[in-house]
Amino acid sequence: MSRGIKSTRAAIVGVAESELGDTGSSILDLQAQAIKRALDDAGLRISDVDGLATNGVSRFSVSQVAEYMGIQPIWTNSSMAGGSSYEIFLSQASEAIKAGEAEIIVISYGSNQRSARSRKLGGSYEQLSTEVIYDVPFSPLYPISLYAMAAKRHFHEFGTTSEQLAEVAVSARSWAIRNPKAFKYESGEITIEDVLASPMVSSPLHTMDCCLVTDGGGAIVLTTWERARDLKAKPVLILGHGETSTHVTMSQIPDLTDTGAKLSAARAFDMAGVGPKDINVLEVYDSFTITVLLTLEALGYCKRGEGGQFLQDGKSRFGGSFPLNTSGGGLSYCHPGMFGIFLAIEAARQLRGESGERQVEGAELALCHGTGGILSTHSTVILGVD
Amino acid sequence: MNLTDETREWSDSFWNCVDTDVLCIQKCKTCGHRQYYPRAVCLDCESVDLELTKVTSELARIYSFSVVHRAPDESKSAPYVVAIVELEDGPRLLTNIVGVQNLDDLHCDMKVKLTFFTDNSGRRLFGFSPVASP
Repeated sequence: MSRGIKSTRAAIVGVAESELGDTGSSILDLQAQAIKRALDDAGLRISDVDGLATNGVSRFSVSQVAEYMGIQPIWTNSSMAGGSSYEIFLSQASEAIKAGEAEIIVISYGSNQRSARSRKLGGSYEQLSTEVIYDVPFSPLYPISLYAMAAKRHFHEFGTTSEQLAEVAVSARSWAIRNPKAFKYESGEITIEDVLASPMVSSPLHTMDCCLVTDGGGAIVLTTWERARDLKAKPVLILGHGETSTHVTMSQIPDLTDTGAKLSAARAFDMAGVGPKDINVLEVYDSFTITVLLTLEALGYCKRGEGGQFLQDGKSRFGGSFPLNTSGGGLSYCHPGMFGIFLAIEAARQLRGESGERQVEGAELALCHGTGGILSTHSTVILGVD
Repeated sequence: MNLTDETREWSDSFWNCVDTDVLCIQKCKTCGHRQYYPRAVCLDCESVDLELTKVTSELARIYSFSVVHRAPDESKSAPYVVAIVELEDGPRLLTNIVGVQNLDDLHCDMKVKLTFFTDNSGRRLFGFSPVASP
């Protein structure tokens, strides 16, 4: 059988979430809901799909979802890199489409961690991993305590404060109350003081410095630029991408305040031929408030150590000059275990001009940065519209 | 303590030493590089000729730490301190800081000294305690 048509560019043509929050649904049902909705958004059918990327279902994630949906894909990917997996899937699906390996690829995710009560403070480990052998005996909260240590070191080296971290959570909420799908949509604004008054979990991180625990699924449909032009949604092009993995065991992090985002972003910017200042809207993984400061520094929006000062004037809140995590992020919109796919769903909606009250006017270039594990994996994707 | 290339065997030997109140790191027999955790290859010169060796100094500094306020299991009682410490020998380890009088006195780059303790589950662990200031 011959290969498909090669293309110079790959495009996102459909995005959707499943039900979010506390659903009581199975992982596969959430996946199916998201896939069906994203294909409807694209004007395509399940039978059009010839590529599938997913993980987090079981050891045979792609096969599980493909069977459930009645798909026999000719291109599959079930790489596991935690929260950055879905930016990595976007990169690899984009290259597969350009190479003619598949024509319609679906990337999908689902988790019922809130209703199934499957999230544990100590984390979920695979037996005989180095985390189990060398980290777990000391009972770090996983992944919180590693991010907490990154924050503590950032305080020590650069004078960053808990108030500056809290601003990240306050900013996220300002967007979430304008996103009807957000878990905290009806919860109202929060203040710096609210974050500081929330219980300390793993110092210096309070509960409100930590992402939500919700259910939810999402799906993204990609195809060639040529095919995308005939579909109903405005195509969102994948212009650049980069990724890296720096460590997985807590003691092995090369530097607590200098992340792999620097390398992944440099590669993505280079490929897209744009720089940080060209980006109109940023969707940056906010597993914890500190994650955002570290990532903005690594992406080049401010100098190393200056992330706290950079955001403290409120510029990333709704209506500010630096639109960041416009869905409300993992802190206030949803966080079903791995948030990566939701970064790209919101970025695509912003670029299509479909973000309603929280729409960033004239958004033409967006950046998504996924962070997985304990600052372990990084993937940057730059999206744009013509 | 010269082992073959099975990570699990290296880790068993490492923890067997801890059981007897000995902290070992791995030393490359080719270039002398010291690393934690022990593995089947030297991360400096790529030699596979390695050995476990007792740390030459019991002193370390706290690279960073976090006071955990909710224990994930029965083995610890909150609040307790998780830290990454940097040994004078070079490598960094995840550990607990124990024997702290006042948690507010802890700070990054603080000097600490090796100790051993038994957790609530009866497991012997290595930890570090603040060195009294001169």
